[in-house]
Amino acid sequence: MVEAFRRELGNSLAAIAILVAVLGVAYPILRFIAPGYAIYLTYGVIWSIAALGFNLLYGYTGLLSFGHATFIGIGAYTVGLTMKYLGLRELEPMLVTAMVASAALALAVGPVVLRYGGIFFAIFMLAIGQILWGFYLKFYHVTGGTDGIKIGRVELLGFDLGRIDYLTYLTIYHYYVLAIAAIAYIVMWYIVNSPLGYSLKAIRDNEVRARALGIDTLQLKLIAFTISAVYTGLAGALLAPLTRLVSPELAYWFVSGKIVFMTILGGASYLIGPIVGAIIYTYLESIAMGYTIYWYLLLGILIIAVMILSPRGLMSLADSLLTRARLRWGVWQRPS
Amino acid sequence: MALPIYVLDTLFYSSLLFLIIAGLNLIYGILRVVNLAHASLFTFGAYATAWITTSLIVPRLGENLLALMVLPLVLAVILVILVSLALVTPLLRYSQGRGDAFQLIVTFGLLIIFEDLFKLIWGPHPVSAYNLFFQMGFIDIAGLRYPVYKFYVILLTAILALALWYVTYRTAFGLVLRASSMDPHMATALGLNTSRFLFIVIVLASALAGLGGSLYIPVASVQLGLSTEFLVIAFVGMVIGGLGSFVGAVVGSLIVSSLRTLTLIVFPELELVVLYLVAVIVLLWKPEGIGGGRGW
Amino acid sequence: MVSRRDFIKGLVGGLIVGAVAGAGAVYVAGPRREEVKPPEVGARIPTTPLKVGLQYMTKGGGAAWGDPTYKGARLAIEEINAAGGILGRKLEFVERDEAGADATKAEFEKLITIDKIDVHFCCISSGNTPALAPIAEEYRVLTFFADGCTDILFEKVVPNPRFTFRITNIQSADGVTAALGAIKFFNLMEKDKVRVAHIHPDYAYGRNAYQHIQVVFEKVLGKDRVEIVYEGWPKLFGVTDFGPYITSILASGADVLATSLWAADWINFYKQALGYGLFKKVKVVSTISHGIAPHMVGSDYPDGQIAGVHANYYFLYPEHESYPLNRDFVRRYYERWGEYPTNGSEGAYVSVYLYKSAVERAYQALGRWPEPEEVIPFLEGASILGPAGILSIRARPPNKHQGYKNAITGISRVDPKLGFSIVADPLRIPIERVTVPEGWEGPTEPTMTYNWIKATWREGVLPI
Repeated sequence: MVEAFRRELGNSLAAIAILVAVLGVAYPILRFIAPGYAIYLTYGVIWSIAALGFNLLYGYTGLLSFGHATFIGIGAYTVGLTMKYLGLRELEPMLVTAMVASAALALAVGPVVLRYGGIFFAIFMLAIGQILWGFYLKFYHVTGGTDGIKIGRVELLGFDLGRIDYLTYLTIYHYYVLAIAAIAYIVMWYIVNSPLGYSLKAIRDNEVRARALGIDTLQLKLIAFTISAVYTGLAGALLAPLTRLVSPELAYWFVSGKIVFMTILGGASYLIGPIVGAIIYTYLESIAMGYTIYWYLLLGILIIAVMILSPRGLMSLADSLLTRARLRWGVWQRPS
Repeated sequence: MALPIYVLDTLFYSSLLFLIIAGLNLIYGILRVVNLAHASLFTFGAYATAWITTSLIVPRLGENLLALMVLPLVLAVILVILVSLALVTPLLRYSQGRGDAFQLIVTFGLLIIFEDLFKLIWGPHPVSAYNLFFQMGFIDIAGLRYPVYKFYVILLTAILALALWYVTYRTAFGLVLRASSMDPHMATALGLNTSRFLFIVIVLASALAGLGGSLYIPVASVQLGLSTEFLVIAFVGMVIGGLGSFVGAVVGSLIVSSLRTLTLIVFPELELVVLYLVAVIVLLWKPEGIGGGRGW
Repeated sequence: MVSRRDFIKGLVGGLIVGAVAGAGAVYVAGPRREEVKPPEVGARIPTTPLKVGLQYMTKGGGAAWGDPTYKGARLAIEEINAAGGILGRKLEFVERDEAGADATKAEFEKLITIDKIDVHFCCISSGNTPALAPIAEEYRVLTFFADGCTDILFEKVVPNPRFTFRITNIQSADGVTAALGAIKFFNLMEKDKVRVAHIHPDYAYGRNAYQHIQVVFEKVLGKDRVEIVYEGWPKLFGVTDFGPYITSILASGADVLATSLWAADWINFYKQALGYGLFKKVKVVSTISHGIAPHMVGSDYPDGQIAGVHANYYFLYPEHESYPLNRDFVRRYYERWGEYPTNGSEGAYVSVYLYKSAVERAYQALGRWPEPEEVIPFLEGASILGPAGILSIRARPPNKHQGYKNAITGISRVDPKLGFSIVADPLRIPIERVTVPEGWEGPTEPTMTYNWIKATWREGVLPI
């Protein structure tokens, strides 16, 4: 019963379609009623791609990475460096390069780090992330150090957007990001509902049993890790034109913590959980930061409260509310 | 000519690291929780000591050497223990057995709560209390001047480490400690009062971190973000030495501190990168760490 | 001297070109001299308050610098409001945090889109101005940088700015001034060999200081006489225990330590260095040691070192007896905040008045409240008399929209009356001698001033 609900509420293509539609419609509405907050919708959508990638590893495979900022950094610096040194302005080839670079890194370190589970994997990823962060910081002559790399306006699908009004540029960019995100969401749906997805869940639930069933767990984990890296790298690349600056801060371990929290906040056991979490978190951050300088205090309390009261995230909260409502009003009809 | 100074500085820094890592390892060894908020207690100890020194001790007792050595330290450690009892202990106890993700996220939440509490109490400015550093004076070593205070910290930590070693390997409490770090269930089965035992472990770990912060403050200022600076470095030391072990804390803090000094002399550009690279190499070569593998 | 002639030629050229509006206009920063009469009834001026954004690193390690800067801006805003606002519009400020570049830029965007500010005053860090300027240009928000003085801002990032202006002296002037001060006060011209150790924060400001101190040493003393014996690059506000750095500097046998560590980093460094007896063995040249709130430079600060104030301003100079504008500013600032102003305070204070004066001039010309674009001509080429002396805004590249005033440095000395270490024996250097002149063309890597010094200074000659 609950499983059926979960499928309906959080894991179906229909849910994805509704979500994308909402994210598309909300933008002009926000632009109209609260223009300052529209840009965070774009940020939220980008972070949702990262969180979705993270969750393939966490929610579906049971591997907690505390270093996914690594791939945000790879993606963002791919854009920064190609812009700075190759003078490239078309975003699409940069996105592809970012995804390839992320996949390459994942394939290089994956076979090693995936041998460890639990806390070791988490620390390993943290360390790798921090090594790269150190490189961005210290290789001043290439990366600009803490000053980072400035990102000019990019060309989208071959259109030069250099001369249009900035707000229009931001609007166009939102729908561009949303289109890519929609594809990413749908592809993720196919992945988790494919034999690969089921095998990953089998690994999560009991790795020893999965291996006994003849699943090459290391290979499957490597595939999941690589896909996860590609998603997060893509998000990193999409962030760059919006932040207009690529700096080591984007690759700092704090960002990894943010991605973990977005996912947990939304609900790791739902496909759309990380998406919902990413968007809510982004708004929470931008609004709370504006109203109090003690924003971390609030965030910390919230993190702990969510973990204790609803460790399965907001989606599960919505889920149980909905179940209760239906049971109460006796409309529970769905056959399972 | 500068070699003795480098060695002393390395020992000084590793003393501070040891006090943090020992607590981290103690908690990991017994509760199997990686406490991201642990270094915040170090920072709290530093803030508290600075505050006690400049607003309580100096105005009332003046620059009295003995008072400066004893009072801020003792009071700050008591404060840290109280804060730990109020905030850290319940959460760690709750987190135990709930999985790595839960523990990491909850202690991450605690870490950022601490950051803002510091800001709330002591404001955004760096806080310092150099009184003891200057009061203790300086001596000449190999033609260079060196602060006596750093000797004091090295000595104090060495004595403390010996005491910890003694407790661990020569007392009944230590036996229980080591037994439960190897197998928590066994310890309970043997009739151990788990609740009280865990309580003591967490308080001990917190006190060590608070002490570290208290010893740190006469040398440099404390500012927001200090917790994470020490946390990530202590983390590296924890991994290199071996998670959850006493020997690991000693080995880890010494190696990290030596690496830091060496890279600062040879190739300062790569300080952080080298630390993490070594951590990765150790993880690959000996995941249980150089000094670990046998529990606390 | 060629450089000077070029500069004057440039200035004259600027006057002719800038005949449009602002060039040649001299404003005065301060509450007393009200030249502009309040608008007549029915004048087309919005009745809403003027929304002012403030962003000056008031938290964390940079607070020792950001806080006084913020206070300078606040003082100006309060003074202006007490005198009736700008053309009758009261100033209302919104403060957001300045931190790392990413966060600062995000907060700036919130100021623009959510708080809807009309004008922005900001920035301490050189890492932040290059991040913010393109955004300010995109959103067309008039932005005055009190600091964040990196040369690359107007040489590379926005070579042709419209909405962004910067008040502080350009960064290269900082390193150049410190180096000239060291050569003069430490009599380095007489030495056969000068062994230099460097320690700088690892970001734009530190790199820039390093390059310009070095280029001046090598040019004025001669390449063969200067040897770098040590370089340390601690992360900005990321290191608190400087022990190994200090030991390395001592071990290197340096005669001179050149540094641009600032705020919390510098306080930690000098306190610890005292413990190691560093100041007894090495002469210290700092670009910025006395740039924090004056009382925060303790009475334990060693005498006889080059005491930098970012080549900008120290509250004792110009001397109060001969320059009442400074005396009154220091007094009002002290009355308001209970401490003495810094060069940051002065910069932020002057920024607000510069904006006010330009808006008033624009109003006189247009007969209505000017759009941001319409204020620009009244800023380009304008000058303003501030507490530090005259400040001129350049109207043409290179470094268009950069403010220039005479550079200053001095020797540290504990003042028994004030109870802290002050900048004594001020060395005032006409800014045109140490910075690339208007109209000069040359490579921008690493900075134009760097290349200008290399190309035009005469080797072995002290240019001051």
